[in-house]
Amino acid sequence: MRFATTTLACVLLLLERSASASEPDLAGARELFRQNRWAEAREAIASEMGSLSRVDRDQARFLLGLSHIREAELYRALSFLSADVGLAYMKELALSKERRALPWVPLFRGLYQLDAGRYEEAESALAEAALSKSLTAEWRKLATARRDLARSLKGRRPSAVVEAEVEGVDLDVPDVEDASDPKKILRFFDPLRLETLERRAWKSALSELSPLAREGQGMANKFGRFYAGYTLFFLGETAEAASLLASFDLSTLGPDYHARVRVIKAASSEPEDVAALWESTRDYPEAVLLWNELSPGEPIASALSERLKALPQSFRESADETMVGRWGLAALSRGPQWLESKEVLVALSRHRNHANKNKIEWNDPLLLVALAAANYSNNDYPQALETLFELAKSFEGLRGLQWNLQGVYAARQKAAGDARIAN
Amino acid sequence: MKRTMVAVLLAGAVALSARGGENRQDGFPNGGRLVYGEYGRPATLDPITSNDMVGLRVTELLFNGLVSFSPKNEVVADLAESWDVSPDNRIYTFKLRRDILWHGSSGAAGRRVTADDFVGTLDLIQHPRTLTPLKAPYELVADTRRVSEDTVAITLKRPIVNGLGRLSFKVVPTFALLNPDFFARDDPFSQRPVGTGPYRLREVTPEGDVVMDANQSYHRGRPHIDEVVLKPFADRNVLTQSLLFNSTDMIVQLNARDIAQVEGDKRFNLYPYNALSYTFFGHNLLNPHLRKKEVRQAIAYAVNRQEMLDSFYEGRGTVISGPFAPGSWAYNLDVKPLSFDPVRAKELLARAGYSRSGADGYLLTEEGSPLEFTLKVPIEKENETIKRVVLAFQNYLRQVGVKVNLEFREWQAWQDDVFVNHDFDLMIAEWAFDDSADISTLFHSKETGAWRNNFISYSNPEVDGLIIEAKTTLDREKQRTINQKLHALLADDQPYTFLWTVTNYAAIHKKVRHVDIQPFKFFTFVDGWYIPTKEQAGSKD
Repeated sequence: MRFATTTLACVLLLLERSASASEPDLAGARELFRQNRWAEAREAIASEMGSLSRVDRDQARFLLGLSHIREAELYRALSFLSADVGLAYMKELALSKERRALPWVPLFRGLYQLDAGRYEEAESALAEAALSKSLTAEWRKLATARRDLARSLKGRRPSAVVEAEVEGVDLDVPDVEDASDPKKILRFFDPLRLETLERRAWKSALSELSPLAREGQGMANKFGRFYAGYTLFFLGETAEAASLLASFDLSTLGPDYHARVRVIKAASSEPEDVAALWESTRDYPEAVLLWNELSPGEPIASALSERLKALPQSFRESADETMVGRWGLAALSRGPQWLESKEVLVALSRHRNHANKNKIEWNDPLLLVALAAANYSNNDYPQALETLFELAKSFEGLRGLQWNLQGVYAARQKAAGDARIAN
Repeated sequence: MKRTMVAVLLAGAVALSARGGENRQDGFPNGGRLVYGEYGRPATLDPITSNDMVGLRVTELLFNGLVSFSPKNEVVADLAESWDVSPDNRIYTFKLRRDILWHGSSGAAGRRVTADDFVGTLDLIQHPRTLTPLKAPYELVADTRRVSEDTVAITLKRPIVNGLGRLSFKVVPTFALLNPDFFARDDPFSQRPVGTGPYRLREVTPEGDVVMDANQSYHRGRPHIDEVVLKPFADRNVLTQSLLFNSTDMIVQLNARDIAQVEGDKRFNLYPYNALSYTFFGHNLLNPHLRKKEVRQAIAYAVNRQEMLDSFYEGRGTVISGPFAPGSWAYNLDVKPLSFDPVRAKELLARAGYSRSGADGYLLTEEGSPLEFTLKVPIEKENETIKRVVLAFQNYLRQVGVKVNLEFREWQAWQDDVFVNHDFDLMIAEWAFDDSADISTLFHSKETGAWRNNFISYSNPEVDGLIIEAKTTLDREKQRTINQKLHALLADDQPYTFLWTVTNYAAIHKKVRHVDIQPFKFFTFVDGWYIPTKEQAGSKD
């Protein structure tokens, strides 16, 4: 079984060495974690937790926290793809005069636009849905609430899910099956489901890592603190992240961690010399990807763009696949003018275990999502669907994305109608 | 008013500047030789009678159509330079390029492709005496008319989804056939074809190698690689070894078990593609026992497909639940594969009237003979994986009291048994599909007969009705709904035991550059592939 020498793998090894001699109970959980079977790893830990020593419990908590982080990052990636695909599917549906007349199309189009951060368009679409007499009062009320949310977010950056949490807006959207014409059954799925799952995973990570950051011992405390700060960063709690990492003793962690901590801190309060911070962190790929999250202005923006484009050349065969996947998604989000999606696909494919093409035990799930996204961008819908089919066996919440992608594919395919026997 | 469609030229802009016979403008060198290996050999080399994937790929090298597809699956101009579509979407009028020549060959050297050739090709396909799998897809052509030497008008009986894509059939020189009116499979043309494609046939060697030379007059610019050779192999193991020992440069479909080994070899690149294919056991519904749905369902419950996939393909694939691959837009995600349940299998068999057993443990029919079937297996010489699969299948069915006799047949003989004579009870094969998810030829009751795809003689009025609705609607969401229903129906009815889809990979030597693969036809963009000059030397003989 091929494993990348990942940052996380190193972390796990470090923790193993520092652990007490008797910790056979976590070996199984660690193995499940390495195979990217995170939920099973958590179950294995939960069943052993009561009987673990203090040191082993720290390790267990850390593993739990990491498993939630991995899941959060995966759902973040899926959410990115889902917004793109959902909007494309709504656009295809709206091409038909008959379907344009369905109330679901503007409603869900608005919801996908909300998810994608296109707040002005979302407000308009949701306003239309809110007035639709074809919707029940309950749905019109939902459309109105979302319209107001979109309106409040215009010109700002926070995600709809984050803002909804702040404002106490209930984001649950029931799935819809429109069988008004039984020969044309349409389905609409909650566009924000994946982002909601992402938020839930980040918060679960924090609930495991915060105690470690406060009370953990030795390496568990250090890594706990770092990853708690990392989680807070992605939850949008940049001030809290900076505060947690303020007095972080980096002497026992590598320069890669040091660089990331410095970038995370910069998210909260702009450093005096941004250019110097960039220069001192640009050699660390993970830090560069964090810079990308900050979307800095010039003079960093151009340098960041160049560095991001060059990153794959520095990825060794054993590069962290999660990081490679994140790079791929960052590249795709910048659009084909920045880098052809085919080139993104080629760069990502170098890190895939082709012999076990879509198996999560052999390929990082986030890398698989990035590959699916790259395939989608290249109009290679079958490959993307095949990857999502396998991922859906292990992770919840993908049905909407699969349905929408099938819909885009069905709408766009132009084939002749051929079938052949293969030798 | 007619809608005028401006022809969309191939991405890459090479075609914009290249005229027939000119070098391509992409700056890549000409030269070199590409030898590719296939498991099995094509039965025919023409696009009319060819019905298997090996044949399809060869015809993609040798022939063209009015239109083709870009790497992003857009319909683009090929032998037509532009087209009009009538407002009712029934009449397609194509203006042909004037620089397309038939491959230089007896009597056809330098002869230009004209509208007559397209009229002749479609008439040939539709002739009752032509045995071709293209009959069904082109039954909807009502009329083909030569408007002028360079203009052909094709009228459809009704508008259809993807009309333009449907008219991507390959054109043949009917004047070069023994009988220009219909195509017999023994016509010499099927082994000595003349086309317009990027490659022209030089010879078929006694060993069965199909040797093709670059078409110097190709309308999109001479292809870079001088020579392409198809080498057929009767043994999948030897096929992979041929790549590793440099006898071939490429394998179109690498054995799933060999992917890991080739992946670790720095000389090769692996190209994943999705031919939307799946493997299945077909049940001949002419057999009175297999006509019973309970028997077919029992067979599905008796077989542990996941175990077979894990054991014989090292898990490199996915068990499927119905007539589409998971990568298809038509796959019904709500339909789960039937579970492995031998107890349920026996219950179903008992319900179907097979509850008495003989001394040997096999269930007995009403007549007192064992419930037994002959499974016809296509095998060239050696295919360890398929052997293991069918032996396992035989064993699973033995456990529930059904006797299976294995009969291994050479590929051509197997095709005759299955496609012509319907002389089988069970068979195993793999289907591959293009993006259309069109399964009409497999399951509509009218698609029976020699060389038609419904060789199992399946007949279900509800399925027939849904298939017709799917073919005649212009509404893609309606097609989706119908296909989902078809998936559920066929998953229940089990005309096939649906097995799995396996990972498709081509393995290509790194010397071959600028590779783009069309997942179904494979070689659509081969004219743009090239080999750097310093890597061209050396023979593969």
